[in-house]
Amino acid sequence: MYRSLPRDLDLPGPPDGPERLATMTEQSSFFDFCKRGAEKGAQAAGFTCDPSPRSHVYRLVLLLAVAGWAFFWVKDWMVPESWDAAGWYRAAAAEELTDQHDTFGGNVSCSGCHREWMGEFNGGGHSALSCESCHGPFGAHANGLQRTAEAPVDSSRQACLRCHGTTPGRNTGFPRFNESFHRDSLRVPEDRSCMDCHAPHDPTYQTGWGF
Amino acid sequence: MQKDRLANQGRRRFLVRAAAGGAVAGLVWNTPLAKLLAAVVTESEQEAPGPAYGFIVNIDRCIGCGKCVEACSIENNVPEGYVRTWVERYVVTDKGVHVDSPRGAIDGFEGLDDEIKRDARQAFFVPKLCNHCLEAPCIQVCPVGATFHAPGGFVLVDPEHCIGCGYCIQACPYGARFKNPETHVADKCTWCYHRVSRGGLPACVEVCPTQARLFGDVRDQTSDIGKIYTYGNWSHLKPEMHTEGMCMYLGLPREVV
Amino acid sequence: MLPDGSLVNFAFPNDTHIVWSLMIVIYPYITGLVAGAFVVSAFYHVFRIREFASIAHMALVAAFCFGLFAALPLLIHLSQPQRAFNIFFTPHLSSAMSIFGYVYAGYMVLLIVELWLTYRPHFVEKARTTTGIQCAIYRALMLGASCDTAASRRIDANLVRFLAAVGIPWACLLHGYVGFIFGSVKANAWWATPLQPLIFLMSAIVSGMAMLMLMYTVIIWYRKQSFDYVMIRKMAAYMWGFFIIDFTLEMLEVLYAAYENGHHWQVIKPLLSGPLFYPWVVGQVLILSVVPLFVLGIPVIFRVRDRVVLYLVNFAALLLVLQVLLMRFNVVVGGQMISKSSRGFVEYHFELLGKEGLLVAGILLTAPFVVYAIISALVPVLATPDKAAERREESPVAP
Repeated sequence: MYRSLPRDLDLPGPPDGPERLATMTEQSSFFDFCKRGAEKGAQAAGFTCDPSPRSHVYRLVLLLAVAGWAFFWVKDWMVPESWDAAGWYRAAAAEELTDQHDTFGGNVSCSGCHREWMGEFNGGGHSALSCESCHGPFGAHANGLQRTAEAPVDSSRQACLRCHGTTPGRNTGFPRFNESFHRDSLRVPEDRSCMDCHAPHDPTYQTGWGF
Repeated sequence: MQKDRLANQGRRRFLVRAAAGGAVAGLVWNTPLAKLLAAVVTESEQEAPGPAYGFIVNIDRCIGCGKCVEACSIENNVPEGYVRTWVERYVVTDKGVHVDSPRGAIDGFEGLDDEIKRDARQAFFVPKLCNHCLEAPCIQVCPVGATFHAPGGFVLVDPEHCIGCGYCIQACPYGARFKNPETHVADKCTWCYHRVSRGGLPACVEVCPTQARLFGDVRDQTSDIGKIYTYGNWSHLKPEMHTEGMCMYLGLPREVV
Repeated sequence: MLPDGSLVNFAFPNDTHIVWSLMIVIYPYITGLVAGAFVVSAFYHVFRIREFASIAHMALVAAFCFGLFAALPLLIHLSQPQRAFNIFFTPHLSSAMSIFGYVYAGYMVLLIVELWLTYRPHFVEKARTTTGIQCAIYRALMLGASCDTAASRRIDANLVRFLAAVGIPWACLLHGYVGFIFGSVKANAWWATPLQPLIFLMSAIVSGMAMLMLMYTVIIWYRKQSFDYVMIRKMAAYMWGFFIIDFTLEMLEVLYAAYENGHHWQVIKPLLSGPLFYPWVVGQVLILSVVPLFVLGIPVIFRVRDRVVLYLVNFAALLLVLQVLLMRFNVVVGGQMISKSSRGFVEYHFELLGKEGLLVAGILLTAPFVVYAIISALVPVLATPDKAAERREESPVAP
């Protein structure tokens, strides 16, 4: 038989003599017991094995059951309202994510009003580009949220070389800036902007030899 | 065959969800089983296919300007130091492979070491983004259901439900995810879900000067992307991961990881 | 040396730092101590290894103390800790992590019930001999049921044995699944192996035993009591056995990858010869594994005097406790050092004062011992010298 626990601990041994029987008659209140406990010593009336030596186990099981029920009640209550049990996500989240504003309007949003530029742009070599690539994002302007006076463009060489510079990986079929040709043959000073000669909307057309 | 791929995914996902739903019902004894069953049944009735979005990257067309990265970061207010999409520059030499992507190429690429330039056998740019996988590991591992498939195939993060454990970041084989230092939740490319929901295109596709990026409904056989998806010789990044990504690459060289 | 024929260290732009840091290192460590300590108490209660009698209750109390702090590093790690309970409310069952809340909470309930049944006679006795508030607290602790007889103790002993039996697979689940969380990430070559749950489990048992050994020695030495050498010898044998299995599995994982020479080894080889050379090769394997393997073998194989056994076992236990901590670090942080680009490594820097810094980690690793000290001041955890001596007389003398 498995030995009872207190063998190796300094726990009190089980009381001697026959097991005490039910003494239902003296049902004391919680605090009464604690008052009288010290006075009456070990045989205090509050200590009984009533109704059975398993009563503490029953109480524990009851406590756990109540706690478990309370937990699952809270859990059910805390699941978000729009929870999609099949896909396992909060369905409202997909809806909420569409609230984000468009920062870029796209070329369609420009062409409706700024027709004066679209002719030159659409016929030119840069017609595949997004207006906002160079002019910056104008989604808020296009959606009427913001009035904008001008569309500034970075006219530095670096802005053009970002696409037209020669780095390994850039397809040779793509028009790349030939530095030695511009510097040595055409004698273009280093500080000149590309846009002095190339119209950015249609760069194959030269505005003139202004040097 | 491609259509089968999508259809099978749908069926399998449905089965997995039904199984998971059943397990949940078993775990949670006071959740009305009827509610769960109703949700499962209604889903099986919605078999009429909506759009299935896909993204195609054409390596041969990319010139590495990085305008896509810049636009994405502006459009989605991506915090400094992280990117939702990025471009890598590969230079293959006899001695090995040189790869770089300075700040995700948000400002494009600068010049390169002369020695590597001289030894270059082959060089190309590879744009990367979230693959919006059909078998997304990030969705699988999210412990609370904060990352999910939205209708159309978007893999999205619920910023109100994410607990910020970072398991999805570990699980993603493509390095597409990061923890946003401002919102403190997992963050990633959404294929500009907000723009697409209004009929637009993702910002990176919008600004790409060479049409190296294509986005659209792969079921629409009248569109370029539908034809490429059905007939094109595309490939996946890390195919051995079997995540069934909906981001496909044309002309993907073998050096790319 | 860089992986995959790379000329430069190229990590993906988002792989700028280690996402799972020190908190995720000490989380599996503390969980492992819980599982290991519990297994020791189960050796006594379920497998009836009598020699562990003097440490069985201490093991249970220690398991509880470690258990209290097992989930705290996770909570600190979360960047939205106020939403931590979402893991209870909407557990996504396809995720290995989702059941953590339930497994952990259930395990803590089991531990508390087992402790409660063990210490009920103590509560009853205290309630009898005290008055006022103190009495009321003890009365509440015993749920108002004051029965303490031979019959009730028999019932409790059987229940404890039953709970210990249930607790073993549960403890294995609690910890094996931590290994599963890492082992199932296919995107990470250093983590992805089905051996991972077994390695975590075995190292957990080793670390739990070693930590108990150290605690026992310190407490007995501090109290100037006599040591239970029968228990210590038995503990040494078990610790050695479990560590042999643990170390074999750890080596097997790497040897297998090396011999297979596949895509895993492509990145593991440069990892082990690069950033993990000192933490893994030198630290974890050469110093902290090989040395205790020999040191612990001496008292098990040879006839050694009691005092020498004590020194050897404690020296080995100290190394093993560190071995497991370093192993957790090497797995958790080492795996994330491999960028998903497979062409570069992410650097790791220790933080001192941050949320995931050394200070917080130190506090979390110390806290269980403080709680243990408080509990052992309130209830008897280890036997007094008289009882220990009594028991030694009954026990067969060790070789």
